[in-house]
Amino acid sequence: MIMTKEKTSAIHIDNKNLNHSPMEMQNKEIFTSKNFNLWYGDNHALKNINLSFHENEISAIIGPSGCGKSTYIKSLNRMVELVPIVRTEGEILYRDTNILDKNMTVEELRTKVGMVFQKPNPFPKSIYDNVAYGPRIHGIKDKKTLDQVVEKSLRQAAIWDEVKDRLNDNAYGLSGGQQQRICIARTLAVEPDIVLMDEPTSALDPISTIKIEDLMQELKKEYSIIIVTHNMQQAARVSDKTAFFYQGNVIEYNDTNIIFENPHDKRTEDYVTGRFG
Amino acid sequence: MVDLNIRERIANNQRSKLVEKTVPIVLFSITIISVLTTIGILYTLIVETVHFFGRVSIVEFLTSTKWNAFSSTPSWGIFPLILGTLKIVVIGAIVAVPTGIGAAIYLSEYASDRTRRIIKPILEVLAGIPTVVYGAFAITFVTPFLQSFIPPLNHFNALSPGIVVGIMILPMIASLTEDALSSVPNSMREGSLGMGATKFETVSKVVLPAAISGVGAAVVLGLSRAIGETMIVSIAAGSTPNSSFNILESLQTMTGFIVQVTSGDAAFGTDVYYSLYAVGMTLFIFTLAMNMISQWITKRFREEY
Amino acid sequence: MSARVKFVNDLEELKQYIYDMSQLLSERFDSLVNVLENNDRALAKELIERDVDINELEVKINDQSVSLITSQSPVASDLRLIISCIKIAEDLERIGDNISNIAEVSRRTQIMNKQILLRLTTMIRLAKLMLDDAMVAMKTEDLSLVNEIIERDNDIDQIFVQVTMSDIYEETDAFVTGQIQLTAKYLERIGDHIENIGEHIFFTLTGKRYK
Repeated sequence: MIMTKEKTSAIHIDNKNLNHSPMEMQNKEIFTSKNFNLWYGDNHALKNINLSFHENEISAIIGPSGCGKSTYIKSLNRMVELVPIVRTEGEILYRDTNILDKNMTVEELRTKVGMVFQKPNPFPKSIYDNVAYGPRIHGIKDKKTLDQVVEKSLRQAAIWDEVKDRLNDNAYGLSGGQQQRICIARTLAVEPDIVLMDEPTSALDPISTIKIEDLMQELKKEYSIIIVTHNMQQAARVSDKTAFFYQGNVIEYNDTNIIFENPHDKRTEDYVTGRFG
Repeated sequence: MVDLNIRERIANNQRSKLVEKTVPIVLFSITIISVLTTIGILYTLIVETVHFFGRVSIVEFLTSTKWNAFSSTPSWGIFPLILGTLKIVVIGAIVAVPTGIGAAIYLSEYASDRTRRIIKPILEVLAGIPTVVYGAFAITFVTPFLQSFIPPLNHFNALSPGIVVGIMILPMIASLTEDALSSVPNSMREGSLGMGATKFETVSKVVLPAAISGVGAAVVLGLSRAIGETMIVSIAAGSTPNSSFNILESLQTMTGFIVQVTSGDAAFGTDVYYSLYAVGMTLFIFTLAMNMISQWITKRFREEY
Repeated sequence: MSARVKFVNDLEELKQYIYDMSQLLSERFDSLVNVLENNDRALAKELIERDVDINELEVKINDQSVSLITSQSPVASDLRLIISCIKIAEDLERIGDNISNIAEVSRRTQIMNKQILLRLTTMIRLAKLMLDDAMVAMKTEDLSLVNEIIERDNDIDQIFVQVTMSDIYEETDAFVTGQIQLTAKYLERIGDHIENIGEHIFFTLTGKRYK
């Protein structure tokens, strides 16, 4: 029987769907929220967040303005506590330790969980002093070690070649994109476990943005990264997993290619296709 | 929808070109008047000082350690008056600078909103007290109080007015320092805290260095006021110029001398009369020097942003 | 929800091109039946010449798709729709080619055997129904209809087997036999292409491969 079927291939979706693979294939959990709630005064800003982030992954958090994504990421390193009217309930576990417990000081947590902010905020000091700030306050004083740490961090931030001849220049003399990379180097200098990034490229030009996105892919090998972004193409480009927040809830959290190719929840679909928000 | 006709109305609008032309001229004239006034004062000072040095040896003025303007054999060494001023200023600085900066750091970095809203106005009240009241306070309260546990303290001395001058300039230093600290952007504090720095580390290693030029300016302003302070020292410091470093005995400052002369009868044309200008000139040079030193200091440590 | 108005309209336009292309083909199926039954050689010639219209539409669809991908960064169902339109257009264009090929056959010879002719025209009618229904399924996003359409290719395949394995022996002329086999083959291919279209629509609606 001669049966020739001419089949053109349908689009192949590579479902690296970790939700269905055995536990050994998944990376270790690094941050888990359990029924985490947060109020700004009377405003219930985060509602029962249950979310797990894994090692050596880039996880993106997307959602419209006011959905709680910045609030959430600032809860992970307790920076949200700088606002006096904040109240929280529930747990956030960093490697099995509840960060809201008294056993871990907030300084210890923030040393392990670094943060890069939306607007580059280098200190008005020299480039060297900016990067050496972290190690210095943690007791590393000898110049040789500091020199090595500074170089290593600037290399990791992909900016060593641009600044190696002017380490004593004021960091304010650099462009926005360079300043942001200095801030990244500064964060890396204390060798954290995780780097949180709150819209790190939204104030930068496209080329700096691309440099930093490439940088993230390199950093992923040693660190875990959680990034909040309102740029969906960026989330699609850089992240392994994406969480969609809406009105204080996590609507969907899955592999990035699923979120952007075939999301399960209609609200996610409407958001990523730009039908609202 | 009523036809607004905006484009046409804008095109037809005749804005006054006269105003645009005359305003710069008016402002320039005003500025020139200020400049001319300054030049005028300086000129007078310089001319009369030169006059003074036509009658009195400038060497004596600069090197002698005796100042006795009213005797029949006058001595014109400026050193005692300068020393007098410095004693007051140093004591005032010791009182005002640490306290002022400390208060400013507390208000800017540690105090809650409520606390700040209560304390700041109180500091402002302190700033509003007339210096003559401060002077009266110094001589009628502070001096006797100090005498109760420092017996050798003279009725006129450097310690009491020094402390009160410190109290007087404290609100200025505190307020200006607090402004300087507040203008350091919060993003800087967040950057430091985000790396696991403590609050104190953030304040001492990031905020304060960033605000240093503002703090320096505040201190200089305060010290300049202390140098030029007249009322408190006239009332409580005395009018006996001396060259000793003893802060418990009577002294006279440059400003005190000027008051003494002008409230007495210094006939026009006498040495005493011209000595006014010489002392005034010295005072002026001091404040000028202070300003330049502070600018140099803040330039060296300036962290620009 | 009135965001991305232009984009939404452009997507509708893209779909409309697909519908138009299918509509043209649907009409050609009717003409093809005519050509075979009546050996209308003039109509056959027309069919061949007018194939360019079909090709032009495929080009339009490709261009519009590329343009939308460049300018709109489509994701999720939007992206699946655009990619499927490109693929469906390709299948439709191939169907057009196959129709022309069959028209060529009828310029070379006439199939006289009534039984075989019936089988062949049935295949054409089935194909036309399949294609029309595929477009309905696409418009109404009817998944169950899509599933059903994909299965219908089996019907066409069965007739193909019948024609080429048994009925063919009724024909004595060797040349005509060859032409009959060609025609049956072309029609079987048309069935496959419409089945593919069904699978592309399935992917658009579900994001999964049809199994």
